[in-house]
Amino acid sequence: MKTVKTDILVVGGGIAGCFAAIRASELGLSVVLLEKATVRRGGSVGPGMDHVFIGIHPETLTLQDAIEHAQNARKELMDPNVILTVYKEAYKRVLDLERFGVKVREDDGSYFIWKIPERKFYLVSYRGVDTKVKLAEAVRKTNATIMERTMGVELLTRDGTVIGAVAYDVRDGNLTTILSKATLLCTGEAGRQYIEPDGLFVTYHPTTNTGDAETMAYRAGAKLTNMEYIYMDYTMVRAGGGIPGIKPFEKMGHLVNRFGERVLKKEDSAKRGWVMVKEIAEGRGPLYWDFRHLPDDVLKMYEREMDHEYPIAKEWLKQRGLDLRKDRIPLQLVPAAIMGGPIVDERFRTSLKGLYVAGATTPYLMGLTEAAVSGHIAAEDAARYAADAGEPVFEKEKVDPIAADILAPTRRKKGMSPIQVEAAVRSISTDYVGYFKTEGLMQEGLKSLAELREKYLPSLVAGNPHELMRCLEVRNIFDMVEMHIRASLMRKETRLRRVGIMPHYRADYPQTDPAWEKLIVIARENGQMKLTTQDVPRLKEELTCP
Amino acid sequence: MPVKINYHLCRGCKACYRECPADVYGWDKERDIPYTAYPDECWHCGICRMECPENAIELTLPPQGLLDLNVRFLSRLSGT
Repeated sequence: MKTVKTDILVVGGGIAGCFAAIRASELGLSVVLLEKATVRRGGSVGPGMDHVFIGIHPETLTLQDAIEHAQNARKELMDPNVILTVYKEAYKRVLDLERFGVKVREDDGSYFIWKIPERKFYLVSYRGVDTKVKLAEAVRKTNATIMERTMGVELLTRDGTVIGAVAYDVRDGNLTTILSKATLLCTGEAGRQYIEPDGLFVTYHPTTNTGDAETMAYRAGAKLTNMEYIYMDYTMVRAGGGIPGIKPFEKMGHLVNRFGERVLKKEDSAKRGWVMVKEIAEGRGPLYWDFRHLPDDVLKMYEREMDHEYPIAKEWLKQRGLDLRKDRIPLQLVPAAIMGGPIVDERFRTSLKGLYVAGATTPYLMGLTEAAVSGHIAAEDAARYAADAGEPVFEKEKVDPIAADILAPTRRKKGMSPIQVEAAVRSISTDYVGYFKTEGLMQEGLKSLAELREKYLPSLVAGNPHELMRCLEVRNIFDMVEMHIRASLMRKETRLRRVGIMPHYRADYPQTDPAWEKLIVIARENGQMKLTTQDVPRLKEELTCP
Repeated sequence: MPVKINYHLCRGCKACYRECPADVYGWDKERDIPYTAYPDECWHCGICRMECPENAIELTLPPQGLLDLNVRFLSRLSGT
């Protein structure tokens, strides 16, 4: 097995990974960037993007607004220090995007900003179908070593410090040991945890995202939180097609049920996700977006957004015979991702020395600018850490058993294909967890999951390098779903995040309990999954200065 | 089949094989052309179509499916 040495290892070449690689490189460090797909088109922004968060900016939010948002985020179990840091740094990273050649501004040099003053929420709508292409070009101008079609599989640790990872080339089947002074994980939103309505691999976020970062951090001993939360979005066509739900109320489509009744009132727009679920739960679904009444300039913006956020969205509507201007567009509820991840502070340090996480791998963040800010800051902190970290030492006796374990499915002659086992695991989360969670069903799900793991994980067969990738992913999905169920069982209350599209709904505990305003922390101890609680951090005074 | 290569138009530039995030395409070394090795793992993201300079890829998208996700249990109880 080949060994590569680097100052900084970045696992995941999406927005966070690219910003981290560029920043670490600018600071003079050697960087290895792993990406399971390609840097040009990998990650959630690979097929394009149409909106960026701009943070504190003269046209949007003041520092005082941002402090208020950060304080309120505690109720949604988010670290206010992380949130405020993102708000403060966001605009700098948007300017970076422009520096890399991404067209964030309109032709007249202004920003097109959707303003939702009632929620103090602002988003820049932009023409970003080539965002990832431009970002990849920027990474290629640095001295970072890019390893594409390469998956980070397991972290290497020494005395509780992360010293690198074992990487797997999903095309040639070779393993590489990467020794690093600091390691950053950013593999995006963990999808492929539930059955998706349009097919197993027709996921909301990239179908490559299986929680690789979260689970390898867990297995290495990092503390994780917010694993009970799921992101469930209502989509016209899976992901893509712009952001119909994030518009000023007057410029939003009408949300209607199957009786044609409008279901969303302006005063309810801050809990849109919950209003939609309630409508379906009470039997008035399916729901539709009706854009037909909107003025032409607004419709043109919707259409422009569809051309930039996953342009294939237009083709979906076309093939289904739907037209924004003529038809109501039916919605589907898509279980997009399990939201949690390794606990981080506002420098994106985890509970393990030498380990950082950024982007949607964190328990708190999602979105392009959020990923850019966290990747950039994590790289700066990792650079400082790496300066004193000393050379990591290769220990063959530690790497050999990891390699043997990874390659085991290639040595079996008969058994189960990874896709067969994956479908079974994901049906457990879909049927036994779902939206309305209950104690009894989840206990049953946990039991089924353990049986499935014991019986079938040791019988996975891979006939080629691609199939071995799927085997490694299934292992991660097992760990993700187990963390999701255990955390969901422990939180005996209901608490909704982000206008209710990130729910933890316990049908047997339907109220929000102020005593549960704390984090559920998952960590591996002596091979067992242990759950504890911890207070949500308070906002640090020093961060509230400009 | 989600993705289909039109071999009359394909010039074997490898763009689809190189960029497909789900690793759906394989490469036929003997004939120097791509093939759909894992069509069932297609994410339907359209990246192959965006990257193909010859417009040689056809994408057939699935009909809309709906999931239950324990959401409709109330309506079943109430008979709505």
